Amino acid sequence: MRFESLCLSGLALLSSCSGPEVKRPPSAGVITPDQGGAAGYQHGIDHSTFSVGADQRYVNEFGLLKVVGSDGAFAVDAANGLAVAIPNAHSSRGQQAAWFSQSPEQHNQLVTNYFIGAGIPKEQVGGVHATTSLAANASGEQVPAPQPKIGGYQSILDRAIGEIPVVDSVAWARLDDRGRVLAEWVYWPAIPGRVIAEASRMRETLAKDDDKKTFLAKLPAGLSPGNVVIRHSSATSTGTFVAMASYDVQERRSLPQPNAQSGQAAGGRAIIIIRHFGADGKELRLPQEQRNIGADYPNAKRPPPAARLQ
Amino acid sequence: MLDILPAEKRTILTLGCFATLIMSACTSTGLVVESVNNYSLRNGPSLNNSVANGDGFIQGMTVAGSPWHLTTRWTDLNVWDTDFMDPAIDRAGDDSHNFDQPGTAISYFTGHGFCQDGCSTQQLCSTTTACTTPNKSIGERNPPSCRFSPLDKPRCCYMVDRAAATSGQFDQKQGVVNYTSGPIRWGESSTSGGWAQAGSDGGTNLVILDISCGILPTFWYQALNNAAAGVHMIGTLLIAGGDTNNVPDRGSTFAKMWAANPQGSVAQAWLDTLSSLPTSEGRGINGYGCNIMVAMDSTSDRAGERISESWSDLRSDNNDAQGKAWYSARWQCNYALPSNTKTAWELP
Repeated sequence: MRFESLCLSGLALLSSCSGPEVKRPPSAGVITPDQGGAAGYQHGIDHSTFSVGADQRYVNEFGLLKVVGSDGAFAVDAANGLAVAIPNAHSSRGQQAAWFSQSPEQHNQLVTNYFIGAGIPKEQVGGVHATTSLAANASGEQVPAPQPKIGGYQSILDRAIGEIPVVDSVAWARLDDRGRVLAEWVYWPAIPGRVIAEASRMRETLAKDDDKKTFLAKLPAGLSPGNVVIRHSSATSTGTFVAMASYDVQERRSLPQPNAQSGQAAGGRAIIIIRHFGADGKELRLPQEQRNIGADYPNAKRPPPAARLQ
Repeated sequence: MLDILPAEKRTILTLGCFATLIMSACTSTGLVVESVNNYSLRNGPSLNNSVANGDGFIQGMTVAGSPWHLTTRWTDLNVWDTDFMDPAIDRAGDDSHNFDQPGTAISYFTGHGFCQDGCSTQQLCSTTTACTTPNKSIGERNPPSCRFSPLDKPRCCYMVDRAAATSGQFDQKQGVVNYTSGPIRWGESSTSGGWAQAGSDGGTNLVILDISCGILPTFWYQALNNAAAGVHMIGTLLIAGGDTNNVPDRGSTFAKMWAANPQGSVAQAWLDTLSSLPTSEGRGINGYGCNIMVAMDSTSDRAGERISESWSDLRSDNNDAQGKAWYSARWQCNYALPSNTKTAWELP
């Protein structure tokens, strides 16, 4: 058998092995809520201005339904509808050092218009914030260090239903000066009616001084004042979708204290942990806070260093 | 079967096989994740979300069909400061069996960091040149920086060591992982060469330090260059004012960026992670700060190549850094800086 024939036979064998059907990511549209609930928004490439480039094809991998091209990928999580668009590292858009020269407020407005135009319910947009992208390249010997340059922004829509923030819903996009989407992330699930009702009741309760005192007395002592919010499974949670009304409190925990031997000190700062409490005062935990794969990857009991060296 | 091929084709095929073997031998796909909630032995208080955070990264990176695999997962008292230390620099170190094992692509630590800020003199300033009096007794030294943030007026701050914190059953350095001037060298391997004087028994290609005060402005190079020994990039949090939030989702969000596009940029994925976290949690930062990725290498071009790596590039040990004379850094900060900003954190 000639070498070329061998290769051709192999290719023919590969092509004859038809795999499972490749699914396409869903189209954009409203996610219908249950009674009394709030609609969600499923982002789709049909409502996106992100370009995956040439040679488009459908790919299903790593739990995501994708449209992949020469310049990037638009992916939708098959389990929860999270939509993510990311350029390839070596594409022209992925290599740009600076892509937006206008103000962050202008970027915020463009992104807000873009997402509302795509289908995010306008009345659910609780705010918009820009984060700033910077870059620097230099010799390590250069002192003082060169000042990083601003390349552009990412604007993030916050979600609220009425006056109640829906903390874990996030939609952000990075646009260039021509208003084209360079990257985006959209997770905007429907919120069940019972959760909205529960959050509304909590707000009413906490608006009355006596009821508020009774509620706060059920919480651990020493916590700072909090807010009623709606929390739900994060975009990266696996398993059943969970949503809940919560009184969220920031707990400050002081950092490691001065250590004479190490010379390290806390610097007066504190790390923050967000804690959640239900209407009955009981502490709640979100699915993403309960991850522990210890049972799947049990730690071997580590031998002490001396034993290891023997 | 080779016998049925002409001699020249056999040669080509054989060479191809060797090339494939060599290339695969130069590929790192391992993940090392060390997560600490339990700080009961030292360096407390304890945290809530580090293990969930580290495990989220593992789950996200090891989904069905993934090219990555978990090499090591240590949690809580099983995380020792020696895991991060290089035995060529300090004999107590054992990073070549833990955080910096050969074959490792990504090493992720989530837990506490120390936050000494180098601003003890509280001297207000309008230019860095006015800052000339570091308090050497507590480790402050030059270079200085007339540092400001939305929470802080410009004041003189000086370089101080940065360190992660462990609370391990067999800690040897009080649980202080001083990566600025301690016995830390990451990424040294046969492909990076031994320029860091730390042998070639390491190999991680990306380090993530998901901790408090991983870097304070403007000392990103000074804070990290001691640890760079071949690693392609180091990602952490730069705190401008405030501190890190101990969130459960930074690791899983970073992993989701890979899953969405394996040809995407690793550095940009770390930056995009900031924007994807909830607002009320400050996008992972309580106050003002940034996700930062720093690549160091022997030349400006090589540093630029490292910071531009895709996830596929990251696996290749042929991309190991050959030096650390140059750096390329990227930030995503959780607040808006005007587009005409000349200086984000310093009055030079």
